[in-house]
Amino acid sequence: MKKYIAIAGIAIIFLTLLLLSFNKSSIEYTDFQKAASLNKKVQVIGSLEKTLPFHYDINTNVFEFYMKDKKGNVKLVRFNGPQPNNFTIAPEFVVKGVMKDTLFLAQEIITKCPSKYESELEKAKQ
Amino acid sequence: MLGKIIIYISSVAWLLSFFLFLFGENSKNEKFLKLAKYTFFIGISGIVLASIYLLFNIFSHNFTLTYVWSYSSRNLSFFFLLSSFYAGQEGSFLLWAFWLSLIGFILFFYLKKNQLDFLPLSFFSLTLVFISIILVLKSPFADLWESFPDGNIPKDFIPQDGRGLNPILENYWIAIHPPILFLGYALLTIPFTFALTSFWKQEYDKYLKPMSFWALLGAGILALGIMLGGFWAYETLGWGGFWAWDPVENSSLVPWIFITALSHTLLLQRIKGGYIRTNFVLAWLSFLGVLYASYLTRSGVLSDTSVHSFVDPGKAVNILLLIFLGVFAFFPLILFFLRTKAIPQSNQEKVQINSRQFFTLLGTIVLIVASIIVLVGTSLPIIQGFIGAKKVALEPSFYNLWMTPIAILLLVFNSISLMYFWKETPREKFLKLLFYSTIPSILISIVFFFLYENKILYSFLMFSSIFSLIVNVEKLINKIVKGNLRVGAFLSHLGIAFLIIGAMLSGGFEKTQTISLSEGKTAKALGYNFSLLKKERIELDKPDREKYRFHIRMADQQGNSVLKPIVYWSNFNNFEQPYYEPDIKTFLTRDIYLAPKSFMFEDFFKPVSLKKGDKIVSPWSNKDSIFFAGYDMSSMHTGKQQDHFLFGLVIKYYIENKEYSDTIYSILNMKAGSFSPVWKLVPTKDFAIGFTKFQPEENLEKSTVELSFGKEILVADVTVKPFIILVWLGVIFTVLGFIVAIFKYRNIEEKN
Repeated sequence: MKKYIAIAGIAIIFLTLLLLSFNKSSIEYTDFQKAASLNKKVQVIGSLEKTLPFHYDINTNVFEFYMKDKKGNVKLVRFNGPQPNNFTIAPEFVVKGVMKDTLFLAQEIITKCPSKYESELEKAKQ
Repeated sequence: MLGKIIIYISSVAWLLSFFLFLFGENSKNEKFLKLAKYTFFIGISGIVLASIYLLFNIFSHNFTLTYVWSYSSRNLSFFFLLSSFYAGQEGSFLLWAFWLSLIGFILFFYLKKNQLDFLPLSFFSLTLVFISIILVLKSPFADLWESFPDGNIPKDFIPQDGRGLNPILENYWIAIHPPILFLGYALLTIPFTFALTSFWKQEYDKYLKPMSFWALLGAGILALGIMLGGFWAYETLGWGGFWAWDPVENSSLVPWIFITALSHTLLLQRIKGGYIRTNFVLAWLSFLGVLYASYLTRSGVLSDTSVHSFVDPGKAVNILLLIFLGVFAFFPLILFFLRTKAIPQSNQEKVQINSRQFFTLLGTIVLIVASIIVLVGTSLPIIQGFIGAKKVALEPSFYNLWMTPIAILLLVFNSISLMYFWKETPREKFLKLLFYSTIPSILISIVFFFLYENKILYSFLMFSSIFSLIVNVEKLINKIVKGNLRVGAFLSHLGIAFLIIGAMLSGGFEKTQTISLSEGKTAKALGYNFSLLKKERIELDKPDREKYRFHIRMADQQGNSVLKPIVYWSNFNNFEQPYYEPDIKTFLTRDIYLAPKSFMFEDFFKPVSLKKGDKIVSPWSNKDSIFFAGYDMSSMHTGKQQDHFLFGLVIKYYIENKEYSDTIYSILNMKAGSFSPVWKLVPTKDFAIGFTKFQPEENLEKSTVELSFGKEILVADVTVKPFIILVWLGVIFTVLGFIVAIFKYRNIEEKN
């Protein structure tokens, strides 16, 4: 019996630690407004605000652009890296990083492209 | 139609084979068994024929088949056509079934030769029942009009060409990595069927050696398959590393850990007795791990959180995959509980703490814990979806946090366990080896601690790796000197130690810097000077792509070398965004990894607008001028893509009183509405001119074009990866070790 209690105890401690570490390593999807209050790494989905300028500085390797999140908030995003190539045509992208006041410091930009499968078939039919 | 019929027949054959072998073996009914053998071979032939038939369709470019149309095209070379066999889901299921069929063929004769009965073939057939039903529901032989019922596609419609292979997959690794990985997955079925058989028949020792043989083979091949994928990602896909804790990678790791744990506990059962239940559970879990991996990667449940994107295969296949998983999760469990009480107690004494057995056991437990962590981490989005919680993505930091202490424990347990003998261990010998292995390990890890950024956990990892390395080399040499070549275990452990040191140094101590390269400029990064020598167009014979190889000189005091990363555009995504391939310069102590990140244009002057016949002052000098002589439509139609046009402008330059003439082009994509200039150097200047915009009016005479002037810039990440070579060396040793170990179990009759 003692053996089983010991095993169960170890298992519970292990699972607790596992759950605790999830919080540390997980980054939730949110919007700019919430990101400002959270003060930790988050990810925000949105699109490029095309009416405002975006710029990549080759000398400092800093890319800045304005992004509109799902709730319509527009914020300046700064990314230490080049402008992703499909940036202007991607309908949506995800930025991972931290919100500092009104500036979003992105560590990663992931662009998603729409699938072209169906339209390809249309083309093949011609 | 033929392909579908073959699949139908073989799924029925597998079903019959399952029942006939089961009843035949239970009642020892020769008639049933004879029939079972027939159905078994019909099943195998069906899958093999279907595979050949699919290949035939691919090679004969039969684009009426959705699968062939989706994943291949006329311009693909032999190996890529071969690879398009498994480029999509349907084909990858067929590949799995194909390997299983070949393995089934071998297994049949293996059982016969070793005078084992055919019950394993029954369980084996059951796995193929499921895969062939999946192939019925999601057939690689579906016609276009069937796949797109709303597309109003006539039944006799044959597209001119297929969509082709995704260009990022067009690399020789696609001919190597997936088949080996799937072979590994398929091999894990065998230890599982033996485990089921041994429980079914309550013969717990009989299948020990066969299980060991196939488990080691599966573990070796799967390790090779997984790591070849890692090498592919590193070498050509430009992911920067060989492992990213991506869900697809993780889900292949889990069954490997289980099968590796199994190969250890099988050894314990063989030498010490007992462990019958443990071995059953581990064989079961390793197979279940394969099914779960196949569910995760194919059901699309993880599509938001993985770099490997998979399309949702549809509800029917999803449910079938879950049933597949469910059957093999519960049926063995029931068998387990039916048998567990009657399993004979092992006559083993209590396990001594100072024994090889104890530390092997500890190591196995740590392995299982590791796989649980990976499993839970990978399944987290599913668990969250299930309980209705908000989905969050786990960062690789989660795995790094857990796997570092786990690796330390594994290596230490491995070292200590090997210092003991299976039987009595002479105290003196043990202490001597302990001294000689720990002293250098401690010294190296202390030096390492002060040299490299004082990372304490990494120093412990270094200590345990060197510890394990020394113990295993000692054992290895000892055995070889005695003329004993049964050194598989030591080779594998040695490999793991190498791999871990390599992973730690290359991952934990890498340095990255971003550089921008353009003609005539030198960029400094990580102690090297990088300069762009030239940009060379390659694969000119292929009209579906525009591919450039950049020659980049990397120089330091020791000398020069040239790195050749690739940037290309492809028809596959309408030339909308470029694809990149890195290049690597390998030194003994480090790799220099150059991965293109972006390719862009920097304006030198303000763009100018002009109409046909306009002559303007050049933006770079008042004395020079540019004359727009006219349009060039002579090469409007490029290649077979009707919606791509090459739109040309005839330009005359007057530079320092000399006249130059040139035609500059832009690629107009009607479908995407994109306009991509083909940059050309302005005569005598170091910047290029490009046709960047076209403002159409009622006729060309009144239309306006825009010309831009500037430079193309390649932005790339340069990374130093210290000692990554140890990772590849480690993999070679590990796989070699598994293969060497198999020979011990080649002959079942032989004792030990």
